[in-house]
Amino acid sequence: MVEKAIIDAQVLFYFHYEYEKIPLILQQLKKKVINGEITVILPIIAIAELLWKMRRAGKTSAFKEALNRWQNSENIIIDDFNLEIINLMIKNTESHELHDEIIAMTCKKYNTNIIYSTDKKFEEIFKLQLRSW
Amino acid sequence: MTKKITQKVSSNGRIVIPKEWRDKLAIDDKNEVELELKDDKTILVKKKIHPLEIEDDLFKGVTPFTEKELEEAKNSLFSDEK
Repeated sequence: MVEKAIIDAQVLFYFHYEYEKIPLILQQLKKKVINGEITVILPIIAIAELLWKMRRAGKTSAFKEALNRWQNSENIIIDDFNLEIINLMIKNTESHELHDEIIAMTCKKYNTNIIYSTDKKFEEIFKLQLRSW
Repeated sequence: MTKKITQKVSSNGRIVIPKEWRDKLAIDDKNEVELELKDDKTILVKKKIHPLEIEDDLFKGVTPFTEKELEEAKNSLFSDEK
């Protein structure tokens, strides 16, 4: 069975950054995505955060191209924030900080506990398996 | 530069990509190719690549998120938090 993982906005950024400057663990992740060895899930709020950054940097067209590439990747899933997440949030008792909660509930929705991020809260509060750098 | 070869087609339509060309494009048995029919005359064979394989450093010139930026982006989504 192909591994599944949630990724945050910083990981999304690194997917299109100069390869030699990408942290090793994310170079490995990118290779695994390219080789079809992992499915990565992009929460819509992580995409929104990256849009926020790229707009400020005047790189909206580069963002648009990146979005187009994610949409055309068979093993990249863009997860819309939907009712299923809300239903999981209703049952959740760990933390009610919306941003982190939505991302953590996205993990639950896809039945995975792997998250690529540097935010220790995912591990400490939601008991997810943090793959950090 | 365009290279051309002529090949026989097998009874079920198979042809062979010359080894030299496969090596040049790093095509092995893990890869897939895309076939494109143009104007009902030409068949174009392209190595199928994953969209993340395109090495054009789309975000070059922008620096990765700082902790402060991540926080600002988050607050921009949910401004009443913290």
